[in-house]
This record gives sequence, C-alpha cells and structure tokens, in this order.
Amino acid sequence: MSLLRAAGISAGYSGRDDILKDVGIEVGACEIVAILGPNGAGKSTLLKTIAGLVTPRSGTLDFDGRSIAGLTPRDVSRRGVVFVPQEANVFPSLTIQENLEIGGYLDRKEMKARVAEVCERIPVLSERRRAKARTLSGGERQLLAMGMALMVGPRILLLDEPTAGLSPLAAETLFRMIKLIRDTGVAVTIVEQNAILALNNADRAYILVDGRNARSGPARDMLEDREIRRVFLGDVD
Amino acid sequence: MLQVFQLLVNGVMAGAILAVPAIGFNIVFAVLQISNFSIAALIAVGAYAGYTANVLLGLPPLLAILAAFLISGAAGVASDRLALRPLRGYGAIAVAIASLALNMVLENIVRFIFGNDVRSLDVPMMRDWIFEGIHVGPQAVFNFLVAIAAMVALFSLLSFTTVGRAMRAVADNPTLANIKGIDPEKMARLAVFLGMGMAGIAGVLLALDTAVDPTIGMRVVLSVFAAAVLGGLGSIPGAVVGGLLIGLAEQLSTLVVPVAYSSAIGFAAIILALLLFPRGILGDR
Ligand SMILES: Nc1ncnc2c1ncn2[C@@H]1O[C@H](COP(=O)(O)OP(=O)(O)O)[C@@H](O)[C@H]1O
Ligand SMILES: [Mg+2]
Repeated sequence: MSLLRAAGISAGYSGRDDILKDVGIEVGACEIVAILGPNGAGKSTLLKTIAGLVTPRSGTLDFDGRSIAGLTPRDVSRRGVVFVPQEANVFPSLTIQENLEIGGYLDRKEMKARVAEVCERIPVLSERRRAKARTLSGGERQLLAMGMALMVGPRILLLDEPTAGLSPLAAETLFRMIKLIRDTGVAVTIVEQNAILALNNADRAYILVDGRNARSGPARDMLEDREIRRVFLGDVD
Repeated sequence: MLQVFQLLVNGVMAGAILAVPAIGFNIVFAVLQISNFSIAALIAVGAYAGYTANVLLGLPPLLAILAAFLISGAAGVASDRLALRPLRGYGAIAVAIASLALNMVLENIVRFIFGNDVRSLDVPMMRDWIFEGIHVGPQAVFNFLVAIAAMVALFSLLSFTTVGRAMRAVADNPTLANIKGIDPEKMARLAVFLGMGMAGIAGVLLALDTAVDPTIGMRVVLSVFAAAVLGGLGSIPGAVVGGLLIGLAEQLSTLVVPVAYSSAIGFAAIILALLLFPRGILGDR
C-alpha cells in the first residue's frame, strides 16, 4: 500500500496547455523516491501539484488513502505532506529562528524544544539563529528550508532540488541527512539534477520527459541500465 | 536660532503623528501589496469615533483613542471586504483607484452623519510649558506620547508574537506562508484592521491637536503618503523615519516659504524620494 499515489495526473498553469500529461507516481511509507528528468520536464510542476499550488485538471491524488486533490496548500501541509520549493523557500526578512518557528506554525507545541532539535541536526543554523535569512549563502538557505520542513513532523517530504547551490560534499551530507530522516519514518520524494547521486541514495526513481512518465523502477536497476545511463543520465561511456 | 529649535520640536511632534497612519498605510501595503488610499477617510472615521466617545459619551481621551482604533479598524476591514477585495484579481492599480472612490464614499458617510461643522474634543485648555524659550503644549506632548506608544505596541506585536511573525511571513512570501499553514486571508484582514486602526488613532490625535471636520484626513493624506513612500513602501521602520522627516521638513519649510505652501513639501518629498531612492530610505523590495 503506497502512502502517496498520483495517477493519471494532468495539470498546467492557468490559461495554458497541460504541462503534466497523464503522470503517475507512488511513494511508499519510509521510501526515498527520486524524480529525474531534463529541465522543463515538469518535475517541479508535479511537486507543486501534489502540494496544492497547482490544481490537477484530471487524475487522482491520494495521500494515506484519502484524496488531497483540490486542497489548499495549507490543508495539504496539515495532512503532513510538506513541500520545500526549489526557490523562494525561506522568508528573507525573518531571522533563522523566526523562519524555523514559521516552519512549525501548524504545530506550535514545544516550539523551543523542536527548534533546538532541528538546530542540533543542522548546526550551521544554530550558530546564526539571530541573523536574517537573506544573509545566508545558497547552501545554507537550502539547509534552513529543510530545517523549516522538519519543524512540523512531516509524514512525507517533497523536496525540489535541495542540493542546488551545495558543494558535492555538502550534497552528500544532505543526502545522508535525508536518509536519517527517512529512518525516523518519513517518506521522501526528491527532485534532483544530479541523477547519479540521487539514484545512489534513493530506493526508486521516476524519469519524466516532456510532462510524461518515461521510465521508472528501483534506483539500483536504473543505475545499471546502460540505456538509461546513456539516454537520460548523459553518460557517455 | 531659537525659532529653528522651536520648529525642530514641532516637527518631531507632528512627524510622530504622521508616522502613525504612515505605518498603517505600509502594513497594508506590505501584506496585501495594495495602496489603500481610503486611509484618509478612516482617519476621519477615527476622529469622529473619538469625538463621539469623548464628547457625546463623556469618555476620557485614552478611551476615545481606543474606540477610534477599534472602529476605524473594523470600518477598514468591512469596506475592504465590500469594495476592494472583489477587485484584487484585477491588479494593484485597479484596487488603488477603487480605494480613492471608497475614500469619497466613506468621507461622505461621515459627512452625512455628523455634518460639515467643525467640532472640538472635550479637553482642558492648558498653558504651554516653556523650556529655555521653546514652547511645548501639554496636549502636544500627550499626543506625541500616544503616537509613540501606538507605534511601540504595533512594533512589539509584529516582532514578538506568533501572529505578528505570521503577518511578516505573508509580507515576505505569501505562497510559502500558505505552504507553512498560514491563512493569507486572515492575515490580510488583520493587517487592514491594524493599519486602519492606526489611521483611526491618528484621527483622534489630529482632532486633539486642532479640531474635527470631515476633511481632517484629506488634509494630511498627502503627507502620510509621502512619509510612506519616502521611508519605503511596506516598511514599518521606514514609515517612522519618513513621518519624522516629513514632519520636520514641513515645519522647517516655513522658514523659507509661506505656511500655505508647506503642504507642497509632501509633493516635493515624493518626487525627490522617487528620484533619489525609488525604494525609499528603508525599503528593500
Ligand atoms: N508559474 C508558471 N507559469 C507558467 N508556466 C510555467 C510555470 N512554471 C513552470 N512553467 C512551465 O512548465 C514547464 C515545466 O516546468 P517545471 O515543472 O519547472 O520543470 P522542471 O522542474 O522539470 O525543470 C516549463 O515549460 C515551464 O516553462
Ligand atoms: Mg524544477
């Protein structure tokens, strides 16, 4: 039984043609699922559709056996589906502490303890708690965005290119953190530019091309599939 | 020299009062990205609410100020809901123009209820205090302190409470705020309530300073808008700085131009601000 199930999803931006055409994905509990594909394939649009920022024109969208299609972004978040956008994912004029508190807005019990917990997991944040988020580097900003998502005890994280702007080392560290989060019972859906890195860390993956499902399968099999490596991952050997 | 000091003192006092509705204008702008010019009429609504509480009901000035805050805030929310919110989908310019029409409607409602007569609040006449030759009216000091208290209260609400943080989050990034569980409509209503409530407080302060008539808001709205633009649209500290600068400039201008022209200072300040710092002194957007 999958935790998140999107089937036959068509969606697009107002007044325009469909970006997503009959897309389906499933994410099991405690599973890390990578969404891969070229720029403009519709990966971000898919996450935004699940998160309630884009309304599906057809298809079904179920989380934990109940439909989440047509809910507002905040009602989707309230169910435990927490989306971290690719851009503009922190509040620049709020401090890091305030950003974390807004991250926990839906569940404000024991706020102090939870801020401390997130800071312990992501030490760069605790050093600069009183600094405005706009002073953070690109990589630190991504970590803050992750930290904010962890403030509510999500059941599934939808991460849109969280390693953008991170050094290769920092990206590895972030994936290690994602695995630790998964080990606490959280499912993760991650859009990632670095396909090899994603496939090395994910359980399963979907490849989207031009708004459609192109391939899907266990991450390990996809890593070993010569055709996938050549066509989708830009591998030239 | 003494005259310059006198004008500086007057300017700071007048500026603090201007800063109150300028903050109101800017908090609405920050959260809704909309210029709501009906703030002029809501200054008048506040002045008459204060008049009703103080003269007709016999309440002391501080309670009259509280009543003005609540009534202007509520009138602001109700009129925004009826006249402006339905137009939000048509863009900020459409809403700004509609707010000018709304301003006329509200001002005429006030006129219809209270008439055109000039009225004054029921406060004792007091002799000026004189320090080293500088005259300071006790009423002006009271008004100044109320303005400061109102600003400190609003600033504390925005800085130190969950709802204040949530409002600033909406101002920063409404989409992300929605993802984080904040209801943007609720925050918009609260911003309008607080902003127009501040206008109401300013209405009573202006009434205490001079007198009440239906154009009380229109007379200062240009200065208020100038303060908001000069400080930076949407910036709360900017509105305070802008208010003080406009207050000082209007007073000091009387040294070189006739008093009748001092309201042109607002125009000049807007033009200068837009030329020199288009985002205002403390604006960052
Ligand atoms: N807000 C938007 N309005 C209109 N079109 C958009 C918007 N965001 C993305 N698109 C378009 O949707 C398509 C898919 O974009 P996106 O989902 O961001 O792709 P990806 O994340 O895979 O790079 C692109 O053609 C893009 O131009
Ligand atoms: Mg994208």
